[in-house]
Amino acid sequence: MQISASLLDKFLLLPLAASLMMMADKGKVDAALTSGSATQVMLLAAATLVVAILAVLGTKIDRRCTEDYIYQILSNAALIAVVTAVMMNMAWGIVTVVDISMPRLTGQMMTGIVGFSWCTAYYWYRWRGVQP
Amino acid sequence: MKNKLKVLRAMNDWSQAELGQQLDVSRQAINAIETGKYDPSLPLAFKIARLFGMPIEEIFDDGFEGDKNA
Repeated sequence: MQISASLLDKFLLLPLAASLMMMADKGKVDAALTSGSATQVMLLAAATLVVAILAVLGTKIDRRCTEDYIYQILSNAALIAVVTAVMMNMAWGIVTVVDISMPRLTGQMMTGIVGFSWCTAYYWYRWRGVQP
Repeated sequence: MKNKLKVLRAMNDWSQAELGQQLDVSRQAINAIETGKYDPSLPLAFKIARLFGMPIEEIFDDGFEGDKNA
């Protein structure tokens, strides 16, 4: 089954709205400090590796079901989402240093930022094209 | 990259949707190629060239002004 651009245009409105709600998640101001243990690092790294490999395999299906034009937009938008998430994480870190009343970014908020930037970039590329 | 897709499509009196159907891509993809918002992949460019019975370089122009005889 091929995923059409018009269908995706409508479908992505859903995660766009969801990502906005995720970003509204109430963060913990006084989160307990925990030191990163070796076990924690190993667990996170292993889990990330497994999920990343599953994602690589998953995108093979995406690629078969999506025409090149849409896949190119989606992958470009994904790059924008990653860059935005990293930059937002750094910028928000500075904000929390300056204003201690602001909550730290939670995983839910980060997911929201990634989803929002991915969807926004998708619509931007649909509107402006993927040419540099 | 400039291309003659719109002209070639008009010559054949096809709509974007009809051309898309023949190339197995969406109308949006045809529109994006025609307006220069997206360069087709090499397999799709070959498909387009085959459909119109023309070499790829006659349909797509990358603006390269080098010595074509070299």
